[in-house]
Amino acid sequence: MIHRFFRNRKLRAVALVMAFALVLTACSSATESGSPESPTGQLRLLAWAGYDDPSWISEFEQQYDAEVVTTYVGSVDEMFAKVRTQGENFDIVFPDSSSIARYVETGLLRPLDRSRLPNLKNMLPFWQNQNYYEVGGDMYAVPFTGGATPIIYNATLIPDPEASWGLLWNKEYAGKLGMLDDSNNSVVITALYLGLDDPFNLSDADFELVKQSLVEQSALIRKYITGEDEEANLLASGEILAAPEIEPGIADELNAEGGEYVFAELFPKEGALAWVDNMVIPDGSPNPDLAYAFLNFALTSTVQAGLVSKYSFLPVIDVQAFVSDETKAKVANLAEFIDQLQLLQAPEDPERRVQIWTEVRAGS
Amino acid sequence: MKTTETERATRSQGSPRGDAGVRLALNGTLLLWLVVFVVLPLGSVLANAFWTMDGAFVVKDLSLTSFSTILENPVYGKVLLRTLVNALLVAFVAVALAYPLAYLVSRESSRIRNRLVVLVLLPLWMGYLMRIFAWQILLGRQGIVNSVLMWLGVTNEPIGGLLYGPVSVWIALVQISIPFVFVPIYLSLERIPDGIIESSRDLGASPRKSFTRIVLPLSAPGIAIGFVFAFIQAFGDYVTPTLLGGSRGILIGRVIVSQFGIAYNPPLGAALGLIVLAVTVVSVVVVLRLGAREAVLE
Amino acid sequence: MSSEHHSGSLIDNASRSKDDQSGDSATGQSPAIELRGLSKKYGDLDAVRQLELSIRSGEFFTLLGPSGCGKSTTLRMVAGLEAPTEGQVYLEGKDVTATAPERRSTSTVFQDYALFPHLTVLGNVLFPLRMKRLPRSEGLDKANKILQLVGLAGLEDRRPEQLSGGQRQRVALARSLVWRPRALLLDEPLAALDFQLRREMQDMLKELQSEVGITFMLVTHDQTEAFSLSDRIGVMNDGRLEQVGTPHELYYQPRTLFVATFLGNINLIRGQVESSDNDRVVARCGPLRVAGRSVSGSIPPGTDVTIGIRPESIRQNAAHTAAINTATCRVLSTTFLGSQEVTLLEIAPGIHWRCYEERGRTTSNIKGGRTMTATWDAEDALIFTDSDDKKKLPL
Repeated sequence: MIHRFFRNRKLRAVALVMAFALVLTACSSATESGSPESPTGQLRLLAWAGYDDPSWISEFEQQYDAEVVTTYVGSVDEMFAKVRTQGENFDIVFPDSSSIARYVETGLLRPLDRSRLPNLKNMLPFWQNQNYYEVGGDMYAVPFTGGATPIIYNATLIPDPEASWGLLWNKEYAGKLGMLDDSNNSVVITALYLGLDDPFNLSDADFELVKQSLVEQSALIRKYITGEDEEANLLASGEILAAPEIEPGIADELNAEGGEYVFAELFPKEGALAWVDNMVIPDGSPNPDLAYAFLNFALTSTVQAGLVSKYSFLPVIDVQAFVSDETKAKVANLAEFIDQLQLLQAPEDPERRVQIWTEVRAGS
Repeated sequence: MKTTETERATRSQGSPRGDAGVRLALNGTLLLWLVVFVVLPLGSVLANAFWTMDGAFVVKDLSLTSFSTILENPVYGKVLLRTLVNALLVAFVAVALAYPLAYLVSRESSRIRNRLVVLVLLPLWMGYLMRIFAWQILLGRQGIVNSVLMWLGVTNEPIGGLLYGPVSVWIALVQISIPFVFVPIYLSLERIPDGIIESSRDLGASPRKSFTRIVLPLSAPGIAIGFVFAFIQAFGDYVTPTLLGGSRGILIGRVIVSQFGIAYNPPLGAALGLIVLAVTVVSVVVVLRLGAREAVLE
Repeated sequence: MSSEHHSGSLIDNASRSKDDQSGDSATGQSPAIELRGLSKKYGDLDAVRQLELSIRSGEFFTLLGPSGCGKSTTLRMVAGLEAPTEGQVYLEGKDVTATAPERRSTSTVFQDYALFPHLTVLGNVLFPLRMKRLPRSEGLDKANKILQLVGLAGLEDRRPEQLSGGQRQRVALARSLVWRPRALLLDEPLAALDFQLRREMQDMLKELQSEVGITFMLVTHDQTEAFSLSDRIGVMNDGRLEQVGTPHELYYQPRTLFVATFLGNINLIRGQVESSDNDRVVARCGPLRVAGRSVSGSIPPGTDVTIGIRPESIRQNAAHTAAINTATCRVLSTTFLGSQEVTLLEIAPGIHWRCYEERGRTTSNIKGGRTMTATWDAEDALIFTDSDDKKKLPL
């Protein structure tokens, strides 16, 4: 996955300041659990900055007379390592969908009791139909929020492109295309573009095809993109005309800045990539009852509408009725393409993907 | 009278013991410093390099898997070689540019000299990333360089190759290195007394001979250290090639970083890192030996 | 010139040089070093003013003066390390003012020796020969000979930092002499050495000079050094050459008050001219009347003058009763200095003179607090007008 920490510019600043202060307080004070019916006490989150936005956390704290303490992480690996070494310090962790299997295999999570999660019914059918959060018949995770990776393009210079990943292989725009500098996303995008069966389980023949296609593409690429700011700059200055949108909202931001060009997003017919962050309860959670309460709370419009309007993330429940008119259009748009989303999963052989990527990038 | 004597006695006894205490504290600090900043990081890299992966987990058994992966796949050798050549090129250019600058500055009067040194070091005050962004602004399609070239009529179309290719990486790496190359060369030149140069002229050396036989050998250690600085900088830097590099020609730093990120193969990353370290150490030793063949000024 | 190249040893060279010198005086050949109207300005500062100087071939000539008087700058202009603002430098009759230092026939020994730290002793000595493209074997031969001469044989492979101050000094000398320059320029070469070593090196310099017989031009602020080494001395002050002469001339016949005071001790008193007969001048100095010798001919009566008398020219003479060149004074103190005794006298209120007397085993009967009569010869009282120090003296 792309540098998770750089998901959003605003979050970054907040995270840096908060992280330090909160890490200091995180390891203090003992926890008292209330009864299952009205859990109370302290809830400890291991989360990305912004997932504990005060607009909904304070409401949760009031409702349950609880105190929420968040430890921030900067990377997927850091999150995994923290849960592995000090899982007993956290009640809820927010891993991405492709990591769930890894957490379960390592025995870090406790299976969830569906009967204690009445709000699961609020989820949109797309999320109810997913199966990545089930391992061996048990449910381990509840989707929290997500984001898609469509193609962002310069609508001024490419007026009416076909809705296909083929745009990023179009020789007409040689030297003016961008691609993500990241093995997994690149391989998955290429697999989608080539129409391969399962982009997360490639055969040897598939790998060969993907590699050839990536090598072919590299001749057309101006710059492999590593971050949101970089992509925004490349697009705004006209260095590139199209690229996978590394974070949600770049097009909106650029258009709001009102530069020389107009930018638009495109959801390829072959399927758009999407990441999903989930809520899991570590095996050693000191306050599982309050954790269940939060899981249900997170599946309400309070949290979900906030995630959409604040960060342009994907909601997991229908929030149409709870957002501003401006955001409504976006949510309606989401409903249209949600079935095309291809959720990131654990790839069959990450090492091999990196290998291929290295070979492509090494050039000849 | 008695008390003063005893006081004096204890003081004279106490002072060497105090010195020993201070020395112990200093040595302890040094040791701690070494452990925290050298032994631990290096040990961790060393250990990781000889571990292996089982699925998503690092298996802490001694293994040469990572090294055999590196040997089996030519891509690593290729990238390493390219990085090496790239770093040598950058170091040569940086020395070639910094030397005349350092020479001219070192022969100025001390007042002007100090001002010029500050001027040369000025880019250091600017953040590393800021300088990279500055190059993006200068070299981009709509950048200043292209605008000037088009205004001059040198070209009709903006030249895309200036940015996001080897050229922009070289330019930025050289620019970043120059202050670091300049300082040791300048210091070695500045320490050469005017009298020695005058004496060589007086003894029959032409200005050119005086330079090649006296100034150059005496500044050789500075050149060697400057070269090593630039080389290490260029060899290990991954940010500059990532932000300014083109679609092809990835360098080793990026490959190593990707092993610790999505690939999650720390042993392979560590093994590559160890090779980089080995190449660096060998180059440093070789270059410094060459430089030290010419004695440093007292 | 090619014959010089093949001449066997330095000794041969020396004898030839001596011959040349005698030839010089006989045939009136060009001086080794000649400066004509030489001036150097640094911005507004006049470092050297209109210097006229001629140094004979084979002469040991010294420029003596306080620091900052321009003597080093003059030497550097001779070496070609500094370009004159005005005037010319002639070496053996040739105008070399525009010639680069490496193409001049002079060689300089610097105050800090300026040895090449990256070369061995041998490497340093071979350097000028290599620059002159001498074949290596020939160069080694010459280098070994000169190292022998300066007493450094056996230290060929040392680096400068492994040598003592005196040894470094010898390397610098050897390096400058090995290529047989026509003149050796020495810029305060002994200043960095301690007293004992300085004496040794002075002796060696003198020996070397008679050995190699070339012209030596020394710059120093040390009067003793200048006196012990030089055939002739030029005293410089404030960029000007005050006087040129043998040590004896300078000491006993100083032309200016500066020269008189800079070389050795001298007792001074201010006075007014009463009468003057050519250079025989009588002046009144408060209670004293002094008959003396004017350094610049007759002086009109009434002129303010300074009178200088060397301490060794003052005698105590109780019997003397003349009204002139006699002072009745109080003895302030006496100091025994081995061969000499120094007596401090109060000539007049506030005016203290020194008096040196050679002593054998007999102790002085002069004690502090006593009164005595001091006398001196008119020949020994030098009379300077105030203008003597501001005017440039013709050579």
